[in-house]
Amino acid sequence: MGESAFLGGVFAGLVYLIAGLHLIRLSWQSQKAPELLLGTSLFLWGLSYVCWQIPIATANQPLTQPLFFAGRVFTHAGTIFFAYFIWIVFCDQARWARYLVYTIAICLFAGVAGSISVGDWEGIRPLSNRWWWLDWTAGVVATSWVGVEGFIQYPKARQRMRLGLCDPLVCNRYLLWGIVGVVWTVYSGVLLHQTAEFETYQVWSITMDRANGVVEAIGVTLVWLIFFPPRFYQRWVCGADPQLKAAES
Amino acid sequence: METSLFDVAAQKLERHTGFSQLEARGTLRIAVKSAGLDPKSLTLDELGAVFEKLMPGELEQRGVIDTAGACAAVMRDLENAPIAATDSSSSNPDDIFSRLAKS
Repeated sequence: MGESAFLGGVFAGLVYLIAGLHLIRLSWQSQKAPELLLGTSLFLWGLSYVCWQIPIATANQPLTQPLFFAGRVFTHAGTIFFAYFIWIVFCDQARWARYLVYTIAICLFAGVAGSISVGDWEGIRPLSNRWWWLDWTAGVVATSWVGVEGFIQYPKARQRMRLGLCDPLVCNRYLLWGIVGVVWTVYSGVLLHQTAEFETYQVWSITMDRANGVVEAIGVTLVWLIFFPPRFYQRWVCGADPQLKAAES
Repeated sequence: METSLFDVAAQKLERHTGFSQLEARGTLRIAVKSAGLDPKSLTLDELGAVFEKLMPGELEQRGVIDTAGACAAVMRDLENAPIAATDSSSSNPDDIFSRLAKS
């Protein structure tokens, strides 16, 4: 892959590792499962980026396959924790959500196992390896799900905010969460196109490389705003709602 | 079946307004939904805000004369109800999402 995707990957990996550690530390304080699940998920995703970027940075051919495979395993493990997080936070009473998490986990596992059976350990042959589609689809379902839940919760949170029952920052966090889901889903689409192109031409295209970098940068910026909102952003969010301003004055 | 805070609040509303069970539950459900809340995981604070800010309007639309008195009576009853001590706040999404960005 080229420079844009590499820089985007390094940046994303760092943000996911920091956010993951932050949430795991919070889970020790609160003794609550959601923080631990999300923190573990983001930390594993951060590790997967480390695994992908090392062979790209060092151009070390013998390490490429094992590290790309490890990156794939970390990504999928993170996705399972992530799906579990969505389930217990947004729909813990819903039986369909439980089955969806199980299905995502089974598809991710089967996708990797099937890919190994046809020799595609790294998951870079979407055109010749049918198993690739199984874990790719499961990943897309998980990221789309978070987007859907974010956009379902956001209007409800706005209603609660008007009654003083929801913090404006929490309300905004649902919106960001929804947008992150869309961005991650778009990223999966870019990755699909990029990987298919690579399998056909055996080169990473510059256009897709730049698209990958841009989408990655947008995603991690949103993740940063969710977990580490800067002061100016907090002030902007809390001052953005005219009804809230009126209530405060 | 387990009784929820919503069920208890609907019973109290029925008693203080003269509504039928269906009317009381329907009116409460409309108010709770328009507050962006889930009837299954209500807390006493959330119900308090609903009865203070939304329910008087809903009751007025349905011909109740002393809306403020009815809402206050329901809330008084609810505060003394044993179910009010149940806390579902630590597992609701707002609470989780507010914890996520704590430093």
